[in-house]
Amino acid sequence: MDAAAHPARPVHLDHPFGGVDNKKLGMWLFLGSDAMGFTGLLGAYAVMRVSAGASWVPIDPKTNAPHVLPQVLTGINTFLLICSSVTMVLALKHCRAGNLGKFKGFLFATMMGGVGFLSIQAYEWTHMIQTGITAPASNFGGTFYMLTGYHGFHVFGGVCLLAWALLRAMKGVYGPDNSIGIEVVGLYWHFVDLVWIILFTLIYLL
Amino acid sequence: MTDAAHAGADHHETNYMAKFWWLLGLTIVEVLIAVLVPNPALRGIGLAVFACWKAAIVLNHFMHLKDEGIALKLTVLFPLVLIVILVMLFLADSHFFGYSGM
Repeated sequence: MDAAAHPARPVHLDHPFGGVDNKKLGMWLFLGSDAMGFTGLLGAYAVMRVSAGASWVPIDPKTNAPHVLPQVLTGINTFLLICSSVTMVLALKHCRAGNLGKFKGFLFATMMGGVGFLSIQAYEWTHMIQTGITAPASNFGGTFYMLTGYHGFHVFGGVCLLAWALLRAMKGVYGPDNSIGIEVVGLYWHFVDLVWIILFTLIYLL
Repeated sequence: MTDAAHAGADHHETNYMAKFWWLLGLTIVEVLIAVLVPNPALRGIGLAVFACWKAAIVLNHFMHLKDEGIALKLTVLFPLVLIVILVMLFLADSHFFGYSGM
């Protein structure tokens, strides 16, 4: 908010945190607390996995070998989320530059990236449930579905947020002088990407 | 300060496509490490390094933390240190469970 537009309002009330917009600061604080939520789940996952040792992954009764998580498919999903992070940051860049057509296009592409991610995850879950890996069947399944589900819920929330932002963008709310809303939505979306980078490594690759 | 002026904090223009290629390359290397490196310790260290590298790219360049002031940087980074400590404490606990898997 421009302090000059509200001369009666002291500047420190608008920017009490070293010039950081209040909305942005609020989102950063939310992300910090959300990261703690993920940490609790990741901690539970780590404890159970380390204490289980080699018997962590359940045996597939058909092959009599441990289940193998679909690393390549999830790698593609990770690629999709990285792409959506790039389109998000490009949307913000074009919003600030006043290229509103490109801004809306990149915002839409980001939303589609999220939808694609959720679709692939739904396919993966279906396949895994069919092969016998379910949440109640083992601690592996329980923590796997909890962590990826909790993250998926965040992605779904992000898609809803992006749809809302796109709707407002269509109404002409955002532009070079009003891009903070897009920056805040972007922060959330990049956080979702960042968390997935960690989850992908810990759950699928390690 | 208007948002446009705030966008001026984008001072040095980031090459986002370059960051994208870095992230993609690091992800491919991660998958290759997971598939090709048989030593669990080496694999774990390699994957942790690459995951942190990717997370740092997202945090610095996409979330623009590198352009923020020291107060916000500390506010964000301090909980990250707590997170690492918390996970370490959890891991230390794991040896007391004697869980045998299912």
